[in-house]
Amino acid sequence: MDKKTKKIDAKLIGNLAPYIGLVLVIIIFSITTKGALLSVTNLQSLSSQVIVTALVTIGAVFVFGAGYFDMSLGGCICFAAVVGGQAAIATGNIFLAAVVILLVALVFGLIKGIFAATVNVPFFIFTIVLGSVISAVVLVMLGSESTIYLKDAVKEIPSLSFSQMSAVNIIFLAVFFIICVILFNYTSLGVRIKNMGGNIISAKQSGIDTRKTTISAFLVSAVGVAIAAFVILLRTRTVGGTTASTVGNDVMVALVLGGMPLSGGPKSKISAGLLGAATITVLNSGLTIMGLSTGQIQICRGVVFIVVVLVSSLSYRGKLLPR
Amino acid sequence: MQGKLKKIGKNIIMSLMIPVIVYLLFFIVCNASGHPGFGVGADLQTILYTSVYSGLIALAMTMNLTSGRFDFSIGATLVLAIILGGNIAKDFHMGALGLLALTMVIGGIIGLVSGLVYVMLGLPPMVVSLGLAMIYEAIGFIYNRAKGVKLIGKNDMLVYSKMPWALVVIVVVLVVMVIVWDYTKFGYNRKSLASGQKISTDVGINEKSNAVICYVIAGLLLGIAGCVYISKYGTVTPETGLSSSSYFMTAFLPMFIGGAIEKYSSRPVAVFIGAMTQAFITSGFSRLGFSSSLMTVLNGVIVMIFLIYTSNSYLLVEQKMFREKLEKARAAKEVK
Amino acid sequence: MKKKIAAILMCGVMAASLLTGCGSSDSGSQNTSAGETKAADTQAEGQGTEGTGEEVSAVTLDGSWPAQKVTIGVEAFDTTDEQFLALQEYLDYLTEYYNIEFMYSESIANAEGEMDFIDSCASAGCKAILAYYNVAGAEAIQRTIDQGMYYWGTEQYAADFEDNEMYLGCYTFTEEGKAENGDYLGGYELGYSLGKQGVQHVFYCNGGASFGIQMFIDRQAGFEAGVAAAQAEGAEIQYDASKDVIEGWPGTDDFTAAVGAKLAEDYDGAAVSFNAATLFQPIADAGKNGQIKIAAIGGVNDTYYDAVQNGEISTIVYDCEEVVFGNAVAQILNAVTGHVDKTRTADNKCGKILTYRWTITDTDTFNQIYDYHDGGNYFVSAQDLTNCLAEFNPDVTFEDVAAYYTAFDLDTAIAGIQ
Repeated sequence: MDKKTKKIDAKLIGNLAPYIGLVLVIIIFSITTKGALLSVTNLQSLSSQVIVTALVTIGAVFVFGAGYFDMSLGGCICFAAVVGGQAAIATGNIFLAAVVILLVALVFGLIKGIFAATVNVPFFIFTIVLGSVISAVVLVMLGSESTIYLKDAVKEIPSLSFSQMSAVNIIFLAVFFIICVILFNYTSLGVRIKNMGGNIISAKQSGIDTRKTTISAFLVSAVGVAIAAFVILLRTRTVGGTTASTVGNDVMVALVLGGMPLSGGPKSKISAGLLGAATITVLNSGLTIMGLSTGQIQICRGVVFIVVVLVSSLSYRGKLLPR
Repeated sequence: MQGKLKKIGKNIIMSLMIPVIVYLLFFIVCNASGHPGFGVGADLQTILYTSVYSGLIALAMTMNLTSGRFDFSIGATLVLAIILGGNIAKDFHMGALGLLALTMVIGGIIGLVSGLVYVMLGLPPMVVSLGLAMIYEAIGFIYNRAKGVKLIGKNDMLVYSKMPWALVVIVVVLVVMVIVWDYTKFGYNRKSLASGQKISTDVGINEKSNAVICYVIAGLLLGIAGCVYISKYGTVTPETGLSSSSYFMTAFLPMFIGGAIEKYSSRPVAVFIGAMTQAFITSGFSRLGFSSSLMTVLNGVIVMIFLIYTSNSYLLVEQKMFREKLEKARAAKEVK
Repeated sequence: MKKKIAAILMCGVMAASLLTGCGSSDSGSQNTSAGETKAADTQAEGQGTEGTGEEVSAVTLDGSWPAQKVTIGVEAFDTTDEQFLALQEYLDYLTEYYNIEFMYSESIANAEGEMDFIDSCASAGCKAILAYYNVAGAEAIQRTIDQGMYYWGTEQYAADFEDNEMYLGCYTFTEEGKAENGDYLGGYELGYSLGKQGVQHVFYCNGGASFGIQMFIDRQAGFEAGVAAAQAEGAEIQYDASKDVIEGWPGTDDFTAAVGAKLAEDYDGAAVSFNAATLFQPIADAGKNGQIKIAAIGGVNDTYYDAVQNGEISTIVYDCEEVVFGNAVAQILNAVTGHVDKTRTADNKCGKILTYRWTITDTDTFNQIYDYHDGGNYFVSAQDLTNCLAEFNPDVTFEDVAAYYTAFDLDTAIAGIQ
C-alpha cells in the first residue's frame, strides 16, 4: 500500500510539474523584474512572443506523439513565410498570402508524412537534413534580396497596431488550441497517435492504419506551421533567410518543459504544447528584462531546463535508461 | 587460407571503393571543366584536415548514436574543451603535446559530466544534452569574457592540422578505437546493449557504467577534434543560443557512409573512410565553384540517399536470402 | 516522499540560482564608488573641447546624474564580435560616471528576435534603443517609437523618420548628398586601400552576403566599387567576383576548402569583411607569411596586435567606438533629459552626425591607438562628453555636437594624443 501511494505521488508531481514550473517561473520573475513581467504592455508583447512557439509546438505534439521527431519545423516556417511574403508583395493581398502559406505548409506536411509512413529511415536525422536543405533553397529563392519587406508591396498592406496584433494572436492561438485539444483527446486520431507512439507493432496489429494516421498527424502540424508563418509575416512585416531559425530548438525545449515525453506514446499531452511554450517565453522574457548578460541568461536557462524536466519526468520513469 | 586472403582482399576493395570512385569522379570533372588542382598538392592538405576533423566528430557521435543516444552537446563540448584547454596551455606555455593532452583530459571530464548527468537523472539523452549544451556554451562564453581562445602565431603548438601530426593522430585514434570497439569487454557490452537493451540488462550488463564510458570516450575524441580545429584556424570563439548544434551537421555523412560499409572492416575505420569521402566531395564542389547554398542542398541529398540505403539494405539481403532458399527448395524438389 | 522532497529542493535551488543571477546584474551599475573625480586625470582635453561653443570647467561626475537612472537597450548581431565587445567596454566605462545602465541583447538572429528584444526593453523601462544592429528595417524603428522609446541608429531609414522627434538620428560615414551607407563605405575602403598598396590579385571573404545578411551584402558591393575605383586610378589590382570570393564563415568545411584552394593560387591580397584573425593561421600554414596583404574591417585590439607587428595585416578599417557609436550616448542623454531639440538640426530634422572611420595602414599608428586605449583612455572621455550635454553646457547646439564628433578624423585624433 505504501509503495503504491509513493508511486501515485511521484506520478502526480510529474503530471503537475509543468503547471508548477510555469507558475513558479512567473512568480519568480515577477519578483525579480519588480512586476514589469506582468505589466499590461509586457503581457501584450508576451502574446506576440509566445504565439509562434506555441502554435508550432501544439501542432508538433501530434507528430512527436506518434513517435516521430521533426526538426525541420523552422525550415518549413521560413519557406512558407518567404513564399507567402513574395506573394503578398507581388499582389498586395494579404489573404492570398495566407492561402499560399497554408498550401506550402500542407505540401511539406504531406511530403514528410508520406516519407515517414512508407520509407524506413531514422526520421529524426532525415528531418535535420531536410531542414538545412530547405533553408538553403530559401536562400537560393531569395537570390540577392536577402530580406523582403511588406512595405514594398504593390498595394499597401495595412499594418496592425500593437493591441490589434495581440488580439489576433490570442484568437489564432485559442482557436487552434481548442481544435487540437478536441482532435487529440476526443477523436480517434488522438487515440491512434498515442497508440502508434507507444508501440507501433501493437498498433499495426490492432488494426490501426499507421499510414493514414501518420499523414494526418503531419498535416495537423503543418496547419500550426502555416498559422505561425502567417503571424510572423503580419507582426514583423519582414521575412528573410533567417526567419524562424531558432524555432527548431525552441520547440524541443518547449515540449520538454511542457512535460511531453519526447518519444511520444500514451503519456503525450496536448497541454504540453501550450504550457511549455508559455514557460520558455516567460523565462526568456524575464531573463531579458532582468538585464542579465548573455552568459548568465544561458546558464539560467540550462539549469531551469534540467530541473523542470527532471521533475516532470517523474511521471514516466522507467527502469531502463531512456533512449 | 586462400579463402581468407580472398575475403580480406574483397573487404579492402569494398571499403575503399566509395572514396576511390568519388575521388576519381571529382578529379575528372574538375580537370575537364577547367578547375584543376583538386586532390593534389595543397588541396590534399585541406582534405587531410577536413577528414581528420569531421572523422573525429563523427566518431564521437557514433559512440552514442549507435546506442540510440543523440547528443546535442557535441559542438558545445568541443568548443568548451578547446577554450579551456587552449587558454590554460597558453598561460603555462605547454607546447603541442601539452595542448593535446590537456584538451583531451578536459574533453573527457566534460564527457564524464554529460554521462553522469544522463545516468543519474535518467532523462532522455536528447533532453539532457540540450540542457547541458546550453550550460557548456555559457561557460565557454563567460570564461575569458567572450573572447574564446587565441593561439595565432604559436606555431609550435598548432601542429595538428597538417602532416605529419594529423596523420599520426588519426592513425593512433583509429587503432585505439578499433581495439576498443571490437576487442574489449566494453566493446562487446556496448554492442549487446545497442542491439537489445532489455535482454542485456537482464543478463547483468551494467548499462550505466557502459553509457558513461561511451560519453567519456566521445569527450576525449572531441577534445582531439578541438586541437585539430585550432591548429587550422588559430582561434575559437564561443557560441551562444544553441548555435553549437550546427557542429554535428558535418558528422552525418561520414556516419552513414560508415554504416553502409561497416561490414567490410570495423565501424571506426568505416566512419573515417566516410569522412574522407565527405572531404573529397566538399573540396571537389568548392573547386567547381558551387555556391554554399547549392553545396548544402547537394550534401543533404547525398546524406538522404545514404540514409535510405543503410536503413533498407537489409531488404536486399533478405531478398537474396529468400531467392537462395527458393532455389534450394526447387533443386531439392527436382532431385526427388 | 523522498521524491517529493527532492522536487521541492530542486525548485528551491532553481529559485536561488535565479535570485543570485539577479543580484549580480544589479551590482554592475551600482559602481558609484568610482566617485573619485577622474576630472583630475590628464585627458585629451586639447582636442576634446574644440568645436563646442563654450568650454566647461571640470565637473564632478560621480554617477548621480541624471537623477533618474536611464536604461538604454543595445541591440547586437553577435555578442562575441570584437567591435561589439569594445563598444561594451566603452559603454560600461561611461556607467561609472553617469547614472545610466545598458541592457545588451543576445545575438539577434532574425526580425522576430529583434521585435521581442524591443518589447522586452520597453517592459524593462528602457528610455532608448541604441541600434547597433537592425534587421526588421523601418518596422523596428516604428515599434520602438510606438513603445515610447527613443531610437538611435539605422541610417537607411533616417529619411522616413526625420520628422519624428523620437528618432534621434544616427552616425553616418556618408557626406552630405551621397547615398552609400557605412557598410558599403567600409567595404570600399578595403578594396581601394589594397589597390593603392599595389596588390595584384585579391580574394574577398564575404561572410554572410550569401546568407542574405544585408550588412555583408553592402560591404561586398562597396569592396567591388573600391577595387574599381583603384583600377580607375591606375592600380593593377585584379578581382573577378565569380572566382575570387569565399562565402560563409570559418569553421565550416566549405570555408576551409575554399581558403585552402585560394591560398594555393597566386593571390597576394585578401580582404575580409569580418574577423580576419581566422586567416592568419591558414596563411602561415601555407607558408605564405608576409606574401599576402590582408585588409579587414576590424578593431585596434589584441586580436590584431601580433599580426600588425609582424606585418601580416596591412589595412585595418577601424570604427573608433567612442567616436562613431559613442555619440549615441550624447544624443540619448540630451533627449531624455528634456533637451530633445538639441538632437535635431536647425530645420527640425533628425540629427545625423558625420564621423570618419580610420583606415590604419601602418604599425606606428596602430600602436599609438592601442597603447592609448590600453592605458584606460578614450578619445571621448566621460568628462569630454559633458561638453555635448545640454544639462552641463546650456548653450550647446546640435551643430556643436556634430562638429565635435566630425572633427575626429585619424590625423587629428593621433595629433591629439601626441
